Amino acid sequence: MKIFFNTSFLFNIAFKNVILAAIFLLPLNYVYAEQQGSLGLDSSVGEVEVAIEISELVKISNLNDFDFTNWNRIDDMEQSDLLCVYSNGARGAYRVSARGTGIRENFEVTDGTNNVPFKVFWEDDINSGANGRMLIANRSMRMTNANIEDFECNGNLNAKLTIAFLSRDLSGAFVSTYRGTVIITIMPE
Amino acid sequence: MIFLRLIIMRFYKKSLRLDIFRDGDSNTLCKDGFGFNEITKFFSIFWLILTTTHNFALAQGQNPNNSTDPTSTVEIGYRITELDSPSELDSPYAVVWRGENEDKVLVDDVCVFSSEGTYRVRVRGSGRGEKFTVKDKKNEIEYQVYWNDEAFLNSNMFQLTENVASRIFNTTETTSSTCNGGQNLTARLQIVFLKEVLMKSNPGSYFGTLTLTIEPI
Repeated sequence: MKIFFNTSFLFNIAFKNVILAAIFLLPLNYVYAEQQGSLGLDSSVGEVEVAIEISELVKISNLNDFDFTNWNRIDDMEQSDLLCVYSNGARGAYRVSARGTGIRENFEVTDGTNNVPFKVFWEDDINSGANGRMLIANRSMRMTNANIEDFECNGNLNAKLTIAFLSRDLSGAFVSTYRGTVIITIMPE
Repeated sequence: MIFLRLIIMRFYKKSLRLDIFRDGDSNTLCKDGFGFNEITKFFSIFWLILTTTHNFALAQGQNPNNSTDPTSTVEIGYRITELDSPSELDSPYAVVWRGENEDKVLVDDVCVFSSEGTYRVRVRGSGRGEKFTVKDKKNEIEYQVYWNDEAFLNSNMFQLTENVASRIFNTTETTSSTCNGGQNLTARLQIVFLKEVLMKSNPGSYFGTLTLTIEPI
């Protein structure tokens, strides 16, 4: 006849008992950080815990309106705006997403009747000279290089937002004044 | 130094789950579940130890709480009591910085007894070189420490340097080493996290300890 012992089971029971004993038999001042001072002839020592939680924080600022005028009827039209993005995430990581005020929150301007689509680009390295990655409405993209020290980026802008109207879209548009809004959301990574 | 900061016991499908953790990170030390039978046995043992210890203490001559001592005594020396973790004024909640456009100021009003009526305070942080810092797993945040020899008052705060005896302070409590059971608090400890420092800090839960020593002049 063979008898089997499940050693892991025995260890588990023993471990639980040891842990419980350790907790219940510990002096209370191991559980609570504060330690009150006792009366002493030459000194008295007490101790407190200092604790703070830092939330994940991001901020976008220095946004400006875009105003497109005088299309030459040949070229695409595009404008860029430099922005400040702050993030306290590691290495200035953040996510950016954007949505427009067109149908299904697409990027479109409208005169109330007719719509003209436009493209939105985001570049997290303003020294690259490029327009960056094209954003799709309501889809976030991972970016870096946010300022990690100051909500206002110490005056050093670090992201580029570009809006571009393609010539082919403009050529089919009726003569009118079109308006729209782009809502940009910065999220912690 | 390891602190058991929190013990959570909760019912979970007819069992109890115990989670002991450190620095705010769950499952840092251990995490396990217990059946009712196991926990019942252990509470029984714990209760036995507790009552035995209490009875032994009484046998050694300690007074029970409701007894009176007919003799009057004069207390001589120094004592600091009524210490709590510094918190925001009038807020019992954990301290969280959510990007407010100001420094984070925490206070704790304490009892300093000195039979001489004067004292110095020396404060040591838990950072390297006893600096005033709190830490999470990777990062550290510095803070400043101030002292006022009047409780409930934020003006005239005196900044303290780590492990350096302060200037001479006065206390109005020269007779009761407990400030009459904490009714007459005599000093304010203030902790300041500068906004400029907080902005540069990564998200997380940061902890540290502050050791306060009341010394003669």
